[in-house]
Order: sequence, then structure tokens, then C-alpha cells
Amino acid sequence: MKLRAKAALAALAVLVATPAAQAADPVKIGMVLPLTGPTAGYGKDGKLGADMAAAEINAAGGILDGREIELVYEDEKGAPQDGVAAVQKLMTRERVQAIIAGMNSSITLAESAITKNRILHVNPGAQADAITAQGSPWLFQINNTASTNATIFHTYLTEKMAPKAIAVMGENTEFNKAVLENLREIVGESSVELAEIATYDGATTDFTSIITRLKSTGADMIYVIDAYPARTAQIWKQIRQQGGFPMEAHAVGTVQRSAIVPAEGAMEGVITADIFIAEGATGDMARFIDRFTEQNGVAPNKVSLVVYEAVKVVAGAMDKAGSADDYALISDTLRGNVWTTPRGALSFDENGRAKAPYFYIHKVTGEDVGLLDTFQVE
Amino acid sequence: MDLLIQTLINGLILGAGYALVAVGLTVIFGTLHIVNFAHGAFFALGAYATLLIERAGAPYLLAIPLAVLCVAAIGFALEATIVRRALYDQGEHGSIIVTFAISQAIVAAIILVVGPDPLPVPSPFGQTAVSAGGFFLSAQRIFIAAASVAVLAGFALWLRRSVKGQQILAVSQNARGALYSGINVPLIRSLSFLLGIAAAGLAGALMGPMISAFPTMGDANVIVAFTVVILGGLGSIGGAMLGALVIGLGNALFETYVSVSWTPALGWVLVILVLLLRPQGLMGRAQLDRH
Repeated sequence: MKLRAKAALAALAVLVATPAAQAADPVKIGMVLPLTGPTAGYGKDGKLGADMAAAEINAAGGILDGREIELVYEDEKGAPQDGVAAVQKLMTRERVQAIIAGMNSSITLAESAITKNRILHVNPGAQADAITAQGSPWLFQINNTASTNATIFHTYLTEKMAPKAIAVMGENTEFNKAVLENLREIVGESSVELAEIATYDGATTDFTSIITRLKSTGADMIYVIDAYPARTAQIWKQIRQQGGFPMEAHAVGTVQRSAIVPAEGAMEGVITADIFIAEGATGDMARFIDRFTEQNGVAPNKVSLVVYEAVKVVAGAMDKAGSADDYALISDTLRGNVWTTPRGALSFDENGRAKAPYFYIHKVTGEDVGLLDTFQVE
Repeated sequence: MDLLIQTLINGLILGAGYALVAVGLTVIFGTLHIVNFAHGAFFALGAYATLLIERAGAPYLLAIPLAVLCVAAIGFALEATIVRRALYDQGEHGSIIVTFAISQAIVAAIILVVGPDPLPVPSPFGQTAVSAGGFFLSAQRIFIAAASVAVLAGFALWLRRSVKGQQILAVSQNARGALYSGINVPLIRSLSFLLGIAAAGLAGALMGPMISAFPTMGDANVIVAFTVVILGGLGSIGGAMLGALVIGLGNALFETYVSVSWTPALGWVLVILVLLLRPQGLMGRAQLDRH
């Protein structure tokens, strides 16, 4: 009799406790960022944005009837093989319910082969069109695609700056490939000549001879396509040491303070562009910048912003869909709704691509970028 | 013609920088038979030490020797606690694992202490370029080349003329024979390790203003240094200098006149060719002579 009573009590306890335990179980989101390696600065900035988003969501009561968001970080070290290992670990050992991964296009492509049809994957920063062109139903991208960004920027370079000839140098990557393809197209429709394209390997340690070669073409514009901050600084220092070019530009979305500061003034006046600029921000964006700066002691950059938005969008979609693991339903919810972000209303197309409402042309000024022009993205 | 002259100047200056990174690698291999995969991390430490000493108020030219001393001190601590116990007389395979682990630990420590972002290493030469007859020369590069030539020439002279230098050469030629001749082999090994590490630190201190300080800054440079020392002959200091010159000039000429994309392969193609025709490298001694 005594044993039966105990068993009944235990069963009752399980029945009562289970829903409560479920409600208390956090929703685990896997964050794959470059926390070490040559782009570790992006990882640091992204982590600040992600932590802030998770703290805001949890402070507001969490999602799915009170479940908190728990971010689980893994380091992709700036290398595809480490990105793949990080995603695999998060999926199999940590049992996360979504993956946020994507700072570098080549790495994101490798990671997306693992997540395809297995888990919700949101790519916050990588731009190459090939990522979302794969037709992966549960893959979404927060940043604009390289072709969207490059079309506006290259049109600006060829029409507004109107050089006679452009010399291009860039690292041999998936991102570079997409940008170059677009540049060839835009230049082909203009009277501008593409004087020379120098594509170098990631292990290149010196750029003097490449710059010498490009200068010898007589091009009046140098256009650098490189997303690595330290290398960007080194390249611009070496360009400056060889007398520079009359017009100078750097690829969209790749110029942050982490490149400008070590360049020690060598990037002054370089034209670039991005989906974010702090200067002149109003409304939700101004409030985001203030909150971020107050909490972290530094102003946010594009990387902090897109990772912040990725966490918010994933959590919002799960909450709205009423599930953390029905990926078809969450994906439909993502596509079928408009998401309010600091940049404004964000919506995803059939390929999972978001478009930023605005696009800004920047000019490097001092240790940051200044606003030169604004475009509305169509 | 102007393009060729500018390219040759670029190549020579590039080669001088490569030589400085490579010479430390080859000293350690020649004397200790350790393939030092931590060389790039010590290179980074040299740049960071320079930066931190400058931040403390020292001028760049004073910060360089102080940074080299700091890196040598860290090298001494690692040699006494890990390298001496785990690697001497243990063969080359173990050295790859241990020095790789040391490298990872140093990079992780830099990220923890200073952070991952690239940082400028101020230099009085800054972005100054010397323009003569239409040719551009970076003042920092001229300084690196001059410092490399002076340090390497001094080092070569010291090796040939001083007793300790002769003892290092003796140990690198035949450690057992050197021991039987009364040379304090453990001391010479420690000294060689310190010299190699100090050379990496010096290279980092000199090249930091050009490439900025960031935790993995040594990785790409040490890969080039490996091609240089293999080409020149592992363990041969003269070979490292010759290899650096060949790779520096070869890269510059190839990048300017042939293909930028294929340049990284050039060093390895040269290495394969030299190893096929002369397995001990350009100036290395045949393997049989070493034991």
C-alpha cells in the first residue's frame, strides 16, 4: 500500500513537473563565429550583438511561453573546416535548435552543406549569392547578397566617380568571385575600362609587386576586394607607400574600424559602402546604437547589427510559429512576415534573402567612415 | 625598364625580410633538429612586445631591442620548462606536435590579453615613402632591409669568429662529436634556441609596423620561411639567406610579369625542383654528413 502511494505520488510529480520543466527549458541557438583567427574581430563584434539580443529577449519574458534563449558559441577560426566542425558539434553534441553562422562566404557555403534540410540556418553577414542560390529551404540571410550590394556600388563607381580605367586586386574567395562577376557586368555596360584584375592567395604576405604591376597599367582607380581587416590595412599602407591612385575604392561591407585603425591613416578618403552607418541614425537605429554603446562601451558596427538582428529574427519566428524545431513552419513564418529591426522592415524572399531598406556610400574619414550618399534598395 | 627595376628593388627588400624570419627557423633546426612550428607565434610576440613597450612610452628604435629581450625571456622560460624536457634528442616528429601546441597557446594568450583586433605598431618611418627617379621605396622597408643585412652579417660573423659561434656550428654538424670534444652541448642547444626565438621576435618587431599586430600574423610569414629554409637547405644559415633572396626576387618577378594567382605555388615548385636535383637544398649538407 505504502509502495503504491509512493509510486502514485511520483507519477503525479512527473505529470505536474513535466510541463513546467519544458517551459523552463531554454531554446538553444548555436552561434558560429570567428572567435580566433584572422577575422576574430568580427567574432568579438558579433558576440556583443548576439548577447545583447538574447538579453533583451530574455528580459522581455523569453519566447514560446516563457522559455529563455541560450546562445551556445563555437569558434570557426576563419577556416571552412573549422566552421563545419563547429556546426556539427552544435548539432550533435549541443542539440541546438537553430544555427546562426556566416561571416565569410566560403566558410558559410561549407557550413550550409551540413545544415541543409537538417536545421534552421540563418547567415547574418556573408554575402556571396551562391549561399542562398542552393535552394536550401531552411537557410536565410540577413545581409544583402553580394550582387545586390555590388550592383549599387559598382554603378556608383562607374557613373558617379567615372574613372577611365579600374585596376582590381582581391583575395581568391567565393565573395571576390561574386563581386568580380558583377563588376565585369557593370563595367561592360559603361565606358570604363577594366585595366587588370590581380587575384591573390590568402597566404600572400606582401603586395608591393602586385601594386607595382597594377600601377604600371595606368589605371586611375584601384579597387580592393578583401574582407580581412589586418590584410586590408596592410594593402592600403602599401598602396600609399607607392604613391596611391587618383581614385581609391574598397569592397562593400568589408571596411570596419578594425581595418581603418591599423591602417594608420592610409585608408583616408577610400570610398566604400555598406548597409549600415551610425552617422545620422534616427528612430530604432539611433535607439539601438545608444543601447549598444551604453552596454558595451563601444559603438556597434555592421557585424554587431546583423548578428543582433539574426538572433532577434530567429527568436521572433520561433515564437510566432509556436515551435522551436518545426523548421518548415518556422521558415514559412519567416517568409510570410515582415520583421522590425533597427534598420527598418526586413522581409525574406523565396530564396531566404533579406534586403536592407537602405544602402550607404561611405568615405573613410579619420578612424571611421563618413556618409557620402544614401540609396533606397529596390 | 622602370617596371623591372622597381620589381627587382621590391624583390630584394622582400628577400631581406624573409631572411630574417627564416634564419631563426634554420638555426633551431640546424642545431636542435626541431621543426619549430611556434616560430610564427614568437614573430607575433615580437610585434606585440614592441607595441606594448611603445605604449609604455619608449620610442620605436628602443622598443625593438627591448621587445627582442622580452621574446627571448619567454623563449627561455619555454625552453627550460617544455622544450628541453620534451624535445631534445626526441626526433623531429615530436617537435612538430609540441611546437604547434606552444604556438596555439601563445596565440590564445595574445587574444586573451590584448584582444583579436589588428593593432597599429607605430614607427617613426610610418607610411613615408622615398621617391627617387620615379621609384617608390617605403622607408620602413628600407629600415627592415638595412637592419636584416646588418643583423644577419653580424650573426654570420659571430658564428665564424666567436668561440660560442664555433660551438654552435660544431653541435649542428655533429652533436655527439661536439660533446666528446668537451663542448657543453646542452648549453649550446639552449643558446641556439634562444637565438632562433630572438630572431623571430626581431622580425616581428621590424615587420609589425608594416603588417600591424594581430594574433595570427606569423602564420603566413612562417609558411614562406619554411619554403625559404627548405630551399636553402634545412639548418644552413647561408642557405636561408640565399633561399630568401631567391624566393623574394622570384615572387616579385613572377607577380609582376607572370601571374599573381600562381605566385604562392612558385616557392613550392622551386622547393620541389631543388629537392629533386639537390635533396639537401641549395646550401645544405648531405644527410649522411650530419650524423
